[in-house]
Amino acid sequence: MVNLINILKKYSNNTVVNSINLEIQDGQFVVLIGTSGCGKTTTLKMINRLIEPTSGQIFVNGSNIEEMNPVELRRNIGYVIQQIGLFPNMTILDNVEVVPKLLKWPKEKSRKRALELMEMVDLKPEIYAGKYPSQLSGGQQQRIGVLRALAAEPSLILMDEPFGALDPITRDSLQDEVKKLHKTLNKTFVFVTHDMSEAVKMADVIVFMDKGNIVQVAPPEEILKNPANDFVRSFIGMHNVPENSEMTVMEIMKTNPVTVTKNKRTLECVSLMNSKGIDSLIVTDQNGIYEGVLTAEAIVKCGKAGDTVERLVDAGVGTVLYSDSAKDAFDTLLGTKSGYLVVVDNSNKVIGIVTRSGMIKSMARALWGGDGR
Amino acid sequence: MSFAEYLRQNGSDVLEALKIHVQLSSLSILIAVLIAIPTGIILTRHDRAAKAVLAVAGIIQTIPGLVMLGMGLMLFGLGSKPAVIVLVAYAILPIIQNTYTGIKEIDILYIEAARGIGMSQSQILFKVEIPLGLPAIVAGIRLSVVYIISWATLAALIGAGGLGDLIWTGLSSYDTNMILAGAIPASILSIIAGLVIDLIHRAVTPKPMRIKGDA
Repeated sequence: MVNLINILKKYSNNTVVNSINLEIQDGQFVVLIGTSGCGKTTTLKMINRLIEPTSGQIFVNGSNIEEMNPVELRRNIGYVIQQIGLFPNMTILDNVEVVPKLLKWPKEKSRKRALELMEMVDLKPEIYAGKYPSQLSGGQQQRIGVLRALAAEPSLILMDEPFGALDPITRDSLQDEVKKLHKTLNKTFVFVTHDMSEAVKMADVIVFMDKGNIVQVAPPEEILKNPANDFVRSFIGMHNVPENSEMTVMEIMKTNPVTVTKNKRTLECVSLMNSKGIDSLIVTDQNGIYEGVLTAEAIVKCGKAGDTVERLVDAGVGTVLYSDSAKDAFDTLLGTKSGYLVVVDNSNKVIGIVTRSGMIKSMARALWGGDGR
Repeated sequence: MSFAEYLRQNGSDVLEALKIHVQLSSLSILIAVLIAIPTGIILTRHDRAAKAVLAVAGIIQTIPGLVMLGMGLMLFGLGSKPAVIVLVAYAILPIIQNTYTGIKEIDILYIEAARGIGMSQSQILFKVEIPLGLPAIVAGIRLSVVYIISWATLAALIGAGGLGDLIWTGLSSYDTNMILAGAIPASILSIIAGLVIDLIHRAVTPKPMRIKGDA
């Protein structure tokens, strides 16, 4: 259990943390959230005495940490930072083992523990143990960063925006892994972030901070349902707006559509459709300017072998500008028979198509995560 | 008389001079390393002192070698003692400088990570700062070694002996063979020392850091 009692931190006249009280139960996943400068990181760093409070007391598992040797204290608290900070001169295995070694665990024990942990996050020791941090991707490095914090079996782990520097996909999978580790290991996590969706995903309890004060302490659902004040509400709102609301057609279209010119002959077009596995072609002039669409149906109905396709071109299929909003395109698409829209640039030149299946894929990614494209 | 013939006749003298030269240089570099590395490390903890010390050391470095040797002669008399003192004074600066910057330039995040996981001050020094600064420190030692081996030839002027003896005596007696018998081994010595230290430099640089220079 972690208890913060009347914790005040001032830098000269600047109050960073303003007499906060906080109780963290064993096994809880607590997320400190707020804008930058709200005091969340300072609060975190006071728990392992990287920063000393100006006044107030902190108890970890019943002991006043002020009376403890800071080095000993930190060895018994896991610590993960955003910049990862694996030691570049040590192998992956040495990095994972570093804290058990500081605690003078028997060699066998710390080795066994390190290998066990690496298996747990699917970093095969036989491949990765002897590598150096710079040979790993950012996501793999931070996995090892998390393992380093867990290696000595601390009951409390502090994480300071650990996934802030990772790309969205990697971040997502690391969040899942840490969440899984939390469930299986039953340890207390204190996690700092400024990302509301991360907080909602990870937290048992969210501690919302603003200007050095704790504004609200509640489970995620409670914070979302009943934000304590306007600031919390606007913060949630800010972070709830889907990042993709401004998505343009450009981002959801398929590029390199199959195009033909209207002086092509029917047979040629049919074989082109067959080879590409499609049932329509976009017709353009010599310069790629949009003229219409040619469907297999039209060829079958009215085409004669050897004729050019000029007569069969349907100019009625809608086009959208690449810079139009994806939402408008979606509405237009729903209203068409063809099941797709032709995307043109400002000079009416064909640059892509938007299909229903492509649109669905983009929406799924926007909703449930993915690379955003 | 050909150079080969000269070497046949005076081989043992040349070897003796080489031996003295090696002794003089290695003693100087050893003392310099023992003084400079701890000094460099201490300076990383005292920024203001660091500026002053590095400035003074920089000034010493600009004094011409002959002047320094002359001063050494005045203060400490003839022989190898003043020579070693002067050589050490020269060798210290590159090592202090590189130790200081080598450690100072380590990304603060490694130090913070080390502190956060519970390393003590001395563990941070020995497990993080020195290993990460070592390539730079060795580079400083290399610079000093190469300087010292060439400057040790000057030390002959104040009676320290070594290969410089052959060169200076050769110069004053227009004896080309003698000059070469001093100059060639001195050059080879300096090249070999450089290569040996390059190997050490490689050995102390962790594999993936060899190419990129940082992590």
